[in-house]
Amino acid sequence: MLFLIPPLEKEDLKIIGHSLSNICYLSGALLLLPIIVAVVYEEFDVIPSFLIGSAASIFFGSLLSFFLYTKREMEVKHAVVMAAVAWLVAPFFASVSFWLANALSSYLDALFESVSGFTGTGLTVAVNIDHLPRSVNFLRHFLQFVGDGIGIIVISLSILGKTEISSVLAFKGEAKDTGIRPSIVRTSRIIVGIGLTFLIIGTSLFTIAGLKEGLDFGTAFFEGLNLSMTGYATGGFTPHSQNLLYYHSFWFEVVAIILMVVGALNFNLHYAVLGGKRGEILKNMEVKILLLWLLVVGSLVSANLLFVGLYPSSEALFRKGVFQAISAQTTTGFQTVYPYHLMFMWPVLSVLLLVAAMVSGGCANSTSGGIKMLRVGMLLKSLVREIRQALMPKSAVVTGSFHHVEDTPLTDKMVRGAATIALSYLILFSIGTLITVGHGYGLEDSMFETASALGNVGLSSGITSPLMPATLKAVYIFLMWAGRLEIMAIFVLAGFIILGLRKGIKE
Amino acid sequence: MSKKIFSFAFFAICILLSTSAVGAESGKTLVENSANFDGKTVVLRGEVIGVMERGDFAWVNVLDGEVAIGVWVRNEDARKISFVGDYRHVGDLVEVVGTFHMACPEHGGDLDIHADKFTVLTVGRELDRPLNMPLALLSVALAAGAITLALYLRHVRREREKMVPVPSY
Amino acid sequence: MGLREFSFRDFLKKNFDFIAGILSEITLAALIMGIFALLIFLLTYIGSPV
Repeated sequence: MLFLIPPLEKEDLKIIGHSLSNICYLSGALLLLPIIVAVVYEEFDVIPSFLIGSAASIFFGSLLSFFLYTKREMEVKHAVVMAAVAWLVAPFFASVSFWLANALSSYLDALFESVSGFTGTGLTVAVNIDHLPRSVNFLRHFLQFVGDGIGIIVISLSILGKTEISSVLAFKGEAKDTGIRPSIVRTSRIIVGIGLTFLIIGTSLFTIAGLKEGLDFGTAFFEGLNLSMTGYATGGFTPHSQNLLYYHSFWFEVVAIILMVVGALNFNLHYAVLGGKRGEILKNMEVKILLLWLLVVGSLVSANLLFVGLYPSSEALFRKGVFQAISAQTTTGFQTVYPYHLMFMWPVLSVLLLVAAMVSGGCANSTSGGIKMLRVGMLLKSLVREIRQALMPKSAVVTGSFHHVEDTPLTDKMVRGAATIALSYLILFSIGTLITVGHGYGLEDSMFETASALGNVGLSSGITSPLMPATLKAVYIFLMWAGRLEIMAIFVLAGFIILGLRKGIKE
Repeated sequence: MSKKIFSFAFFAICILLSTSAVGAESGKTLVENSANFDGKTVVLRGEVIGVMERGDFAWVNVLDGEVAIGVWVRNEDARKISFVGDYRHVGDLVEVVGTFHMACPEHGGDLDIHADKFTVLTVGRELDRPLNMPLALLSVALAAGAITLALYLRHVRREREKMVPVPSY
Repeated sequence: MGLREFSFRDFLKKNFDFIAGILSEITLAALIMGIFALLIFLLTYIGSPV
């Protein structure tokens, strides 16, 4: 089978390498931004870390650009591989900064934190978060906004335009496709615009809430900016070790929910709604499925918690049960329950429900992770169709369609695609769970943490910590990376490498 | 003689009680054994990492090791705090004696301690984070160098292109 | 069909649709919270005599 695939050419590597250089330049520029925060808070001693990380990134980018130069156009396979590699390279340089700033116990931890940041996961191995320099803490949150909230490739496209990454398909590599707008650069700019809009709205709301809840303006703004970045990016990092519990605030949780829900919505939906088609919100298939899943998971978790008697009031059920359900479904990872409690005090049923929420995920083309509602919806509709077909007379043909901005027929190809990704996802989930169990953790914990890493969620049952075994950290880095790229890109990259090794590289 | 022994013993007991060496629970213990401590009086010692005034009361987040717990104190007590811990400061070391709640009904199910007694044991301080000058200069040089190299290589590439055009496919 | 610059200020001033869209998305989130609030009240109401 392998012989049918054309061998790799040097040009292929050049195309990938050259576009990767732009990502390196961009990542280098972004790593300079925390310096502004460092200056504001007089954390001058940390500034060298950012400068060096940035320098390394830019240096690497210039090497790539110079030695792997080509003007040839990009194809799907290049774009997909490039995205897969970019999502490792960019965190690599950020981790240099983290490590130099002594923010983490080891380089592996720094890499873990960067990958968790870039992929919008939110699992943290940072030690002493409450005493981190504000600029370093800012970088953690900023990584989530840039990597997952907007997407580094998207930013690259919107700034650099069509110059080097000249294909619609580069976009697909990042698992966010254009949908409506024909111009990829225009779409990128719109995505950046939407992200910035919600960043401003979120920061304002959090700042107001902070002022109301006893914080001074400077603190409220800083916390608000960070929470807004990770809320919209459905990331889950917070500036403190207690996660959202630090604020003991119903209002903070409400604003968080708003950002989580918005972040979980499809960019195409945002585009339609913000362009005037407001009715789309309730007609859209993904929103309907998301609401359904949320309601099912949220109510079952609440009922379960109520039955077990863990929380004394309706307010508590909402702020603990429902909140965690929304956090899981939108794959954000904001947590209002201590990790230890999630594992040892929450009833197993609720934990498993959260796992189901995390695995199914948010909407496609959003900042959320998981299998995605679009695929879940397609598969469910396909199932219904199969059942109807079985009950109909042999000659009858059952067709199906769904409404996603416009009415679309449900083709076999779509169902196949959805099923393949869902299956790959579940396979990785199983392997991840087994490996975690193999390290000595309980079954539900393992399922929970694996789902959290793979779905880029960030809720933790306590397994993720600086003391986690190094091999498990490496496995979770892989899972976070795979999850962000919706797995297919990883397989294509693997195929690329195997092809190169088996057949060599043609000149 | 017996009077001396008695007064010594009395004195010793007073010291013991006043330094409250009545075993303080660690934050980790409290979180991991919440059910056992629920509703009981506990002692927590830790660093202040957050203060939020809300009406007549305030939240004080106390960090003990890796675990931080929210403590609900009266405003007068919260105002005793001089330093809140962050990168540039070590927060006040405080001791809290109060009722522990695994899921406080008054506070939306949060795990918290309602303080009866709130004492600042050690006042915090500002931390000096000196700039490593050689490293700083090196980092500026590296950054400037990298940017210059990138621009230079770009220039070289452009010059080369003018001489020998790179074939487009 | 040139490439238009995405100017946030222009949108805010000129596009009612944009603002209305943002508000409707926030309303969606509020709706979700509202439904859950109702649900929980229902659950606690049913749960109490049990």
